[in-house]
Amino acid sequence: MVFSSASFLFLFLPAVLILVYPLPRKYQNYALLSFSIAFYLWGAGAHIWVIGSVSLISWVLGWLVSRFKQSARLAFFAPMIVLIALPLLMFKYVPVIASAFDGSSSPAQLYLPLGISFFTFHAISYVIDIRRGQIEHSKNLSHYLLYLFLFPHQIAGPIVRFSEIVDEIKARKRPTSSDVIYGISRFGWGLAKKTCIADNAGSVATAVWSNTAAVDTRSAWIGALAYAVQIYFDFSAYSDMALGLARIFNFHFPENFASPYRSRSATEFWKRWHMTLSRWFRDYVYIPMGGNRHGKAREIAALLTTFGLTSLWHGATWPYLIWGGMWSGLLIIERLTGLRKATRFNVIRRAWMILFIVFSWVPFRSTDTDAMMNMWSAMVQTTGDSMNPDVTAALTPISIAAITVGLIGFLIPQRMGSRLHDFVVLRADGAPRLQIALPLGFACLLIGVMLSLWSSFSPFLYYQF
Amino acid sequence: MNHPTPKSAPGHHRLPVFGSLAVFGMAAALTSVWFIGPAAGTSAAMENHAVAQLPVVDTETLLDVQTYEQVEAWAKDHVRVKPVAVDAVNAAAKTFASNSSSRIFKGSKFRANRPNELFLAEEFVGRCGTPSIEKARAGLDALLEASSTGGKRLVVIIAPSKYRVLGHLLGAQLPELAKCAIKEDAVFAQLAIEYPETIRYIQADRVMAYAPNNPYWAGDSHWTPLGAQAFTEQIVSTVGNVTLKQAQALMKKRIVQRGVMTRGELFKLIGETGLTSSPILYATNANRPKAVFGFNGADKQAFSWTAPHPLKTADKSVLVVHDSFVNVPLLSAQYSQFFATGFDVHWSYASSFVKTPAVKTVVMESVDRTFMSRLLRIPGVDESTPDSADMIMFLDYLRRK
Repeated sequence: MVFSSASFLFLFLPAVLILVYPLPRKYQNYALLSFSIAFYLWGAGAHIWVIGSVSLISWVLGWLVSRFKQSARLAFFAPMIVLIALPLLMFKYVPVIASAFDGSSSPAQLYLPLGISFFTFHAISYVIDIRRGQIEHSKNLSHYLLYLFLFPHQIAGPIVRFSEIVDEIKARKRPTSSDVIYGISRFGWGLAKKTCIADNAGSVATAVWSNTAAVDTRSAWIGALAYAVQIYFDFSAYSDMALGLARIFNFHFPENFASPYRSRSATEFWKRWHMTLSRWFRDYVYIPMGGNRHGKAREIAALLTTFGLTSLWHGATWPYLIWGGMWSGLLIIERLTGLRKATRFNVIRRAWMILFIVFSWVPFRSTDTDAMMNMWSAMVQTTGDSMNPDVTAALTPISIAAITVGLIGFLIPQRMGSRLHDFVVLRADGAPRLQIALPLGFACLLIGVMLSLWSSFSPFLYYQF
Repeated sequence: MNHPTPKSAPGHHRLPVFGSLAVFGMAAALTSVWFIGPAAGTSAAMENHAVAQLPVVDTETLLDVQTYEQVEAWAKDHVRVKPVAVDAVNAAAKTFASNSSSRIFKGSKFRANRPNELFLAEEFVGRCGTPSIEKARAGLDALLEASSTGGKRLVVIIAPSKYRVLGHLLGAQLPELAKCAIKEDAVFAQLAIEYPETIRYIQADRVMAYAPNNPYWAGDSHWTPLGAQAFTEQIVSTVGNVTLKQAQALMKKRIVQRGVMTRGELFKLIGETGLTSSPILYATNANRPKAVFGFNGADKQAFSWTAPHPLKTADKSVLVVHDSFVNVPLLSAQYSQFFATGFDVHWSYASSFVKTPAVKTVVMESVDRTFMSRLLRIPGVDESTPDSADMIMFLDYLRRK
């Protein structure tokens, strides 16, 4: 079940709102946990044992680490982390490794349990944070399970730290009207972004990538731009919806995006794009490897490792590795030349970054290196006289408008800040303007819901990771 | 500039009034959209599937994701809350509005009487009158008398409705849903026995033989060019005076695919996007007739043709009077090549009969669900049904020598 599906919008969500919201506070955690398990069960069925095992193992390990914190050396601790990550490794990477050994061209794909990457990252961060003394082990198993299973972040993040919501779990408080209205507005905003812009831009990208062997220059550029719009509006929409839902129940999740396409450098981009994942890799991979404190060589090694793991997290395929290689290459160049700290020529730097971002999404979207190379070569050298008829057909007034609005969205002035929604809805003191937030939220909700009904079902892109 | 973090006041113990209203309003808004908005999913997904059965839910199946998918599919097919809600809103609108035809949710026409959204409601409810064999006989006799007066041969080809061909998808519900049609079918069967030279009723298996996968368009009641070949087979056999087998062999030789057509866009208006693609079937270049569109100068619905290589055994000239079942799949492009001279007139353009030259054979095509009402509109057949201008003009044409 994903947020834009009919089962979620018309069955699950109304049921949660009607049944859980008015419950006395002491029952709310149990009710939310039950609904979150049902949410997972609906989407993953019997694979719930995988997540159940990860949850229990990490909770027990958390207890062990908290008991033996002083003596928990790396030799003892590292296998624990591997144990938590084992299901992820088995389901996502063992088929790839096996296919490499038996020589088959494409790995036999195991069914990937829903949201397994996100579950695993949450569980690992829990155990590591206990070892670092940043949090206490949760003696109440149901609190920990609620942290892992909480349906707003269950499938595609954001990756929330236990420390960020433990107080809200332990001492349930009623949301204020401001919380609720902000939450509804943010959820509706996300749904409208997904259905109005991401899905329509996505139809053009799909048409272009459906036949990359005969792609012409115009189609390639249109497809690459459309995908850049799609992936940002799709994923940030999911995050908007997750944050909004969480807020309705008085949970405060961390932000996941901050106008990433306005970045002036690769370093800045990764501070603005999928921020909770970047933060996770920074805190649990990059910094433990030494970060930038032990000389350039160590820093570059840490960067390469971090991006190697980020690429592999998205998928163990060549296009993802190339995508990760591009970004780590640019980051290393920026580190070595000091370019990331430059403050001049912002317009040129932004334009360069947009160009790089659009190029970098090509391998990310391509299922194989042939498709990737076809797209890149069509983008850099003029090929083809006429556009692919499928692309022409996909370029409806609505999809053109969606791509245009999306591209304009990349250029929103900095003064509007990281999130247009908050710029419109929040007052200077951070409280929502109710007279704007509520109508905006309901209008977006209605538009989003109607569009999700009128179009073919299109799941969120990050659902697959 | 960074935005301030949205403010969250310290939590209260009681539910916030305004916030609670907003939460329940959101739940109500979502449920309302579900009840009265368009149905989710594409028409292609809604059609061409067997009606879902409720799965057995036990300790074993509880952990199977398919169980949840089946429950969802069952709810889509069986839970009739939505059409009831749509009807209720429309009925309320009708009561309070001065306009008796008030219908604020247009999709409801498609939805309200839907048999699990597999077919157009009209497929069933259009045939719920009490069919009378006597009146049907009277209508047919009037047509045959007129054609006899004009020295013409009359052939009536009845096209099967979509539900008849794909009705098995409705499973056990078919008899209940189709009970109106069943009564009418008995009358058809009797007429076929009594008028063996005139009535040709195309059976479902003959349509399916030509198009096992997509005999009808998704989100549409008409057959595709593939399914429509069953009509071509029938007209070639009957007017061409050959057996069905010979007709099939001729079609194999003379009909080719040229281009692809898709339908279903219209249904975006009622919330569906499903499209069906089907090849357009034409005469080969060598056999393609020379067609003159709009021979009465008014439109493209009526046209005439002359075929370069007609069947030698066929009647020399033919008029095909038809409904949209011939127009939608561009069916004339398949059969016109077999008859030396021909004319093609849609019922909507019955005024064209005045200018249509006399022919040897008249083929009257009608989909089964409208055939009986067409007979009842012939003057003198049914006192309670008004005579229709198209049937009067048709009779005049049949009588003309």
